[in-house]
Amino acid sequence: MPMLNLLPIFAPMQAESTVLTPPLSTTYEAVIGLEVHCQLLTNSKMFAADANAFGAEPNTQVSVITLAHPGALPKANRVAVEYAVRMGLACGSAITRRNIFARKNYFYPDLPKGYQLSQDKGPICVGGQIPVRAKGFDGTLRDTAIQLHHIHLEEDAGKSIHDIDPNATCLDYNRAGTPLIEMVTEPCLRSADEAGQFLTEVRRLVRYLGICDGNLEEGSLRCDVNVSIRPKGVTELGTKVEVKNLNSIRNVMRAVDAEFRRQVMLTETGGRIIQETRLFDADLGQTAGMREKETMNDYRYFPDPDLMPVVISDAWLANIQAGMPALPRDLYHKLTTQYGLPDYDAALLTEARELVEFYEAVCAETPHYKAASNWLMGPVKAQLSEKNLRDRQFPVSATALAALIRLIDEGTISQTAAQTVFGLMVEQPERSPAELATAQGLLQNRNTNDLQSLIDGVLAAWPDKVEQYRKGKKNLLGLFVGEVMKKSKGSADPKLVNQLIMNALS
Amino acid sequence: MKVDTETLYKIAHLARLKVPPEEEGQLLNSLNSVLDWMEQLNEVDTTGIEPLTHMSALDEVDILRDDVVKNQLPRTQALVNAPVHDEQFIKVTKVL
Repeated sequence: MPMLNLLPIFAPMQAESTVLTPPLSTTYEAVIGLEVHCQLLTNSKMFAADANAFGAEPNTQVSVITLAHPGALPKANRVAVEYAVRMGLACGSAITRRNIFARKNYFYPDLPKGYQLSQDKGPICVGGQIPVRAKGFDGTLRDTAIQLHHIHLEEDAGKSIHDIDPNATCLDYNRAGTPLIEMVTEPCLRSADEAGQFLTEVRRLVRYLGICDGNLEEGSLRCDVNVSIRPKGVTELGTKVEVKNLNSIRNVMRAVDAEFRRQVMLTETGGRIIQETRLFDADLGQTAGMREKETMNDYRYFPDPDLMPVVISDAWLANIQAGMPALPRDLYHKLTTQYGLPDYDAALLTEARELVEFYEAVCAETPHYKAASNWLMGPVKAQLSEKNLRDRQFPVSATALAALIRLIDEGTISQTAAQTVFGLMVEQPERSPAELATAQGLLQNRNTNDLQSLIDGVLAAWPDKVEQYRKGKKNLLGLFVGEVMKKSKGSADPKLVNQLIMNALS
Repeated sequence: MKVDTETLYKIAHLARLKVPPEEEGQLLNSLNSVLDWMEQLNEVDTTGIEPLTHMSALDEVDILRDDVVKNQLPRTQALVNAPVHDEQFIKVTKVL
C-alpha cells in the first residue's frame, strides 16, 4: 500500500483530531462488542460474609475465606444470585436453572486464592437484549437492540496500589470477593455512539433495579471494549483487539473511535492487526499495546468442588419476578399515556428512578401533570444537580410541590413569585409554600386600585416612552409591565398589569 | 493422551514450578501413568448421562448464605501471616 496519498487523509498528526474522511470512513466498518462488569450492591461478598462497601480503610473488610486461608469454605450469597436474575429478567434473558461455579486459575497478587470464582459453562443468564436509540455507523439515528451473549456471576479481585510505596506494590483485599455480574454483548455494535448509549442504558437499568450504583469513576461499573474492522459488506469477523482502562462513558466512545482509526490506518498502510489487549490513554486519546504476555493465558476452568450447585426453582424465580421494580421503558409508556406527557418530558423524567417516583408522587396530589413535569425538569433538576442530592433526600416533599402548583393555578402567586417560593422551600422545607409566600409578601396583588397607582407612577416617570408608545412603538409595553412588576416586588399579577397598562394608554 | 516435554514445561510454568532437566524424564513417566490410569474411564459408555460435577447427593443444592455481614478479621490478624506488610497493606514485589 502506498503511504503517500494517505497522508492528507490522516493529517493533522494530533491523534484525536485525526478524522477519517471518505472513502476510508465508508470503506471499513467497526465491529464492537462490550464486556460490562457491575459490582452488586449487596451488604456482604459473593462467597463470604465480609462487608462489601466502597472506601473503607485498607484490608478491614476481609475474612479467612477472602484471604484463602486453608480449609476455609465459601458459600454463595442468596441476594447476589437474585440481583443477577433481576438483570437477566430486565433484559429478557433465559435464566439458567442449575448454576455451577467454576475456578478460573491464574496467578496475580490481587487474587489471594490463585483462582477467581466465576461461571464458565452455563452462565446464569443467556441471551437477551437492551434496546437503544443511537447514531449508527453512517451517523443516522436508529433504534436497535443490542444483543447480549450472556450475563454471568463472579467475584472481583483485590486492588493493587502502585503509587504509595516506591519499592513495592501494596495490596488491599477489601474488594476481593465482591459480587459482580459480567454482561457480554454479541459483536453487534457498529459505532461509538451505540457503545455509549448501551452503557448509559445499562447504568440506568442497574440503578432502577437497585443492584449496582453504576458509578464508572469509582469503578462499580466497568467496561472493556472489543474492536475489529472489516471492509463493508464482508460478514467474516476481523482480528479483535481488547481495550481496557476506560473510566467514563465518554472515554469508552473515544476509545472505540481511536481504535477504529488505528486499525484502519494500520491496514491501509500494509500493517497487520494482532490479537492483543491495549490500554486507552485518556490524555492522548489513543490506545497503546500492553506488554506481550509470556504465554497465552490458559485458565484451566473446572467446577469448584467446595460450592454446591445453585438451583433456581420455579417458586424462587416467581418470587424474584414479583419483586421486580418497574423498568424505565414501562414508566416511559405510563408517562406518555396515563399522564399525557410529550416524549421529551417522559425521556427526561425516566432518566433516574428517583425522579420518576417523585413525579408520580406529585401527580397523586395535583391534576396539573404537565406543570408538575415542568417543575421537575426545570427547578427541581437544577437543584438536584447543584446540591448533588442523588443519595440524600430531596428536601421538598411531593406534597409541598403539589401545593405550590395549586397556588399558581389559583392565581394566588405568579409564576415568577413561585420560583422565589421554591427556592425558599428548599432552604426551609418545614414551612408550607403558602406560608412562605405570605411571609415574603409574594401573594399576587390583584387589587386594581393598588396596581393603578403603581402604573400611574411608572407612566408619569417615562413621559417620552409613553409618547413613543402612542406613536406606534408597541413593544415598549414590556418595559412598563417590567417596571410595575419591579415596584410591586413581583407581587403583581402580570396579566392584570398588562391589561391595566393597555387600558391606561389607549 | 500423552504428555510431551513441551506440555510438561507449560504445566510447570502455569503452576510457577521450576523443573530441573534431570527430573524431566521421571515427571513425564509419572504424569503419563496417571493419565493412562484415568484413560480406563473412557471404556464406560456415558451416552445420555449428564456430566457429574459434584460428588455429594443430588439434592444437596442451594447451600446459600443470607446477605449479612459477619466473621471479619481484625486487620492486624489479616496481615500477620504476610511475609511483608505494614500496618495497612500486604506488600509484594512491584508488578508495574
